Amino acid sequence: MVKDSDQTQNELHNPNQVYPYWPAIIGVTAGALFIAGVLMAIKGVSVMLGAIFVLLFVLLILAFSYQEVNRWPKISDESWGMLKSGGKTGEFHEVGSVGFPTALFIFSEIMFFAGAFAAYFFLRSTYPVWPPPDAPHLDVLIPSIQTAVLIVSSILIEWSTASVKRGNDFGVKYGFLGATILGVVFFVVQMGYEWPHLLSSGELSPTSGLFGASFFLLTGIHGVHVLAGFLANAVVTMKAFKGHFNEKDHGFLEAAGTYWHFVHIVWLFLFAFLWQGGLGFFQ
Amino acid sequence: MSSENQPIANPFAGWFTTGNFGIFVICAGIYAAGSLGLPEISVVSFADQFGITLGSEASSEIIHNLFIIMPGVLLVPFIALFGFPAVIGITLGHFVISTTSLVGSIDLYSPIFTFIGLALVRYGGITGIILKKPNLLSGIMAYLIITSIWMSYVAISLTEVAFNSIFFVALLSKILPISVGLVIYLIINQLGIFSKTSS
Repeated sequence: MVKDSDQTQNELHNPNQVYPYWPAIIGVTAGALFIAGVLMAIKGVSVMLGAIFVLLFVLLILAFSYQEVNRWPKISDESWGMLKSGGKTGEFHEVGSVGFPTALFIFSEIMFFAGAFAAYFFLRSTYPVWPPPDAPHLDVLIPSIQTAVLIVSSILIEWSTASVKRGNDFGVKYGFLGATILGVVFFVVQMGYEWPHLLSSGELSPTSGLFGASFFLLTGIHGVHVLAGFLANAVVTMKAFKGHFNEKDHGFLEAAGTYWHFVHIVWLFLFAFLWQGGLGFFQ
Repeated sequence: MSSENQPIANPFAGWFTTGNFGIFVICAGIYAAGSLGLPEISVVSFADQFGITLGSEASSEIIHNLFIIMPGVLLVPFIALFGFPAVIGITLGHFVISTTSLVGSIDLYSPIFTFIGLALVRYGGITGIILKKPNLLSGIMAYLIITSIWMSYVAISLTEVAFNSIFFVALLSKILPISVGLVIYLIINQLGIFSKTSS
């Protein structure tokens, strides 16, 4: 067993080893098929199509299990061996140049916002017209300014990322410092100006119907993500000023940058859907 | 490691980089913000100054909404600098704009034609693909023709307008921002700004 454990450790820390990611992709796809199939059958969209989806799910799982089941004893042995030898976990290999954990985290965030938007559109579909006639016309000036702020901050992060690979300390420090400051500007405009303005004027509140509730919920959860991005950027800035990053070691900087870019892309959809009534032609 | 446990090589290795993701997001942001945040200028309102007459259809709301100048189109020449991430970014930006289109759900297909046009810009147009001699202007020409034909098709399928005149309106709505973008691109290229800063 000791020999097995050593072998396992060597396998896990082999820098040239590429870990398979297909099981995760197949698992997610199969899960989506199953959920879609059950929902279709329960909601009466199409019982036949729902049954086909569930059948596809079962076939996928069977095919996958047939391939995988003969590996289970070995994987189980490896896991036990790893635990007994100190419980040191294996390093995930990179997916491209952004680390696998970052890619996985961004994927989970995409799923989170996809769920939020799906709920928004589902509730919205119960209204004959959107935005509802009693909803206020939201001024696009503030989100336009916020979009400009995010675009400039993304450009600064891009500059910073390019700088760290070239050993340009100035770009690394001040690129992220600028992005951090702009993150504060975005947050202050949202939570310090727009929200109080809408609430105090009585134009819109979380209790003023579905439009108000959706607006505050979606901009709120995005605002929390902006705050998290700001904190990550602030930590990167502090580390950059302490000289923690160099051409070879800048994983955290890239992860924070990728997360900020993601927060930016979500904002574009919020702008289109909430302020401009995006996809209103399907109403 | 036995052959049965040999993992599958990652086909996306080196593709999903922070740099590429950043370019993708910035292009999508600029393209979308240019139309969502800025005042809308319809090219129809001054098309007659370029000798294009649309007749009674000039007052059509659909025609006005379809041929709005998109400032983000000025990014198109920059595909030569930023590559495929810019193509995908601009396409996503166009998709975001399409969701807010006043023309209708048919506009959701527009990003597909934008993507084809932009991919041709990326690969240097017809001269790049057939003659293996990539040329930015050839790519831009292909983009203009493909997107203008699609916009004209949308216009004639929703209104009574004639294809010939509306095609030139479509071309005009793209040529104006692309010309500005091309000038900026040439200046930036001359100064070598991105060759100094990009990784």
